[in-house]
Amino acid sequence: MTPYDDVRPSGRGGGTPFEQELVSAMNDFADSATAPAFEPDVIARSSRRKRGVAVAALTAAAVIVGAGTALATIGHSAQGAGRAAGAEPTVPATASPAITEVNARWHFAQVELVTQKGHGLATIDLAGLTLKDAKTMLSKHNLRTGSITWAPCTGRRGTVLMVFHGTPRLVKAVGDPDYLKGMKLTDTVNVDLCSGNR
Amino acid sequence: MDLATDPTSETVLVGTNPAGTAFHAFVTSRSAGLYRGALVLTGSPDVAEELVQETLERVYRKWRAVAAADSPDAYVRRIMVNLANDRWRKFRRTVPAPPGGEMTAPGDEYGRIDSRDQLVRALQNLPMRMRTVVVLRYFHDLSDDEIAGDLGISASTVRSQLARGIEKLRGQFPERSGLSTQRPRKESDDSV
Repeated sequence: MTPYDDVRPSGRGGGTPFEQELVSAMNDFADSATAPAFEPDVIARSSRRKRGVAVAALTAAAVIVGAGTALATIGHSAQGAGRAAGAEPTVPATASPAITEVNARWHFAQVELVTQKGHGLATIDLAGLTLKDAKTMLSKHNLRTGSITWAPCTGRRGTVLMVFHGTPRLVKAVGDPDYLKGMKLTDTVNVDLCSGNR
Repeated sequence: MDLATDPTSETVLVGTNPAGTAFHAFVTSRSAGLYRGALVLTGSPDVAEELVQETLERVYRKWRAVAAADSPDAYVRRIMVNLANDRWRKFRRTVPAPPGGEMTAPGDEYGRIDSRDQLVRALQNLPMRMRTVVVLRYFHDLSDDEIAGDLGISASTVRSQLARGIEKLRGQFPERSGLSTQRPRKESDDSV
């Protein structure tokens, strides 16, 4: 005999009157409110933003504990010093070897780095960066800028408006070559810059 | 809500682009059900909405794993209940329940509704883990093993949490306890 014999629930779905009443109560309560509309686009945007912030925070933490010293040794310390640690989503330089895919979104100035297993690794947000800074950011991941086009906008002239690509997906040949077999390879990210004419 | 038998499941699982139609279809077809579960679990429409929003964001980030899972619905439900437990640990959000409840006359529909409302509020006063087990059993109709898998605990822990949870709820409604202890006789009982 177990200690719970006298009160043990009788089974799935509710067997005793009390359990049946509990099931009815929960169903009534669940039916009492209309479900709000959840917008997939909003969810996706919010998710990307949080991931960017998380990556930026990790980067900042890495700098604080001493990774900054190692990065400075590599060079380009002036580039990093000029920007606040959490200002833009950035990715740690050590992330590069695991990257196998680069997914540039035409409607955002973001380049998404994806691991071979398909998990999102990080997002480089180039929005608002100068072309020089964008090139530096991309070069950390062995990427380069492709065509540069200008578009009228109200922002600062010469800053990145968006990135885009002509093929369905840009794939960078890092990692397992077999995985990338048959896919169109490129390491180029095309950039739209703000002409400031609007 | 089994994705494997759902006619929309094929469209849900097709595609690997997380921003594509698969994720859109999933959100469209599943968000209302997730919200119902979150509402019962949290007891608050606002908190439930936040919980579902956060769950879907997590699903978006792990979309490939979700789509590749044997049971995407179970995967997502697991994300949601674990997020709810995390949130509860952080904020200790509870909906205070008014003490006790008046006896309602048989056939009194208003009284019945009020009584069920009190029952749901009493549910919200259970500890989060215990409440989660009760909701997964009686609202989602899951087995002990399925609940144990979702929460990462043993089936015996599920059974004890469930028994204690029901006992606590019954303790708050003594007028119903007389009914509840009279379990219906099963034919299997006679054969023993």
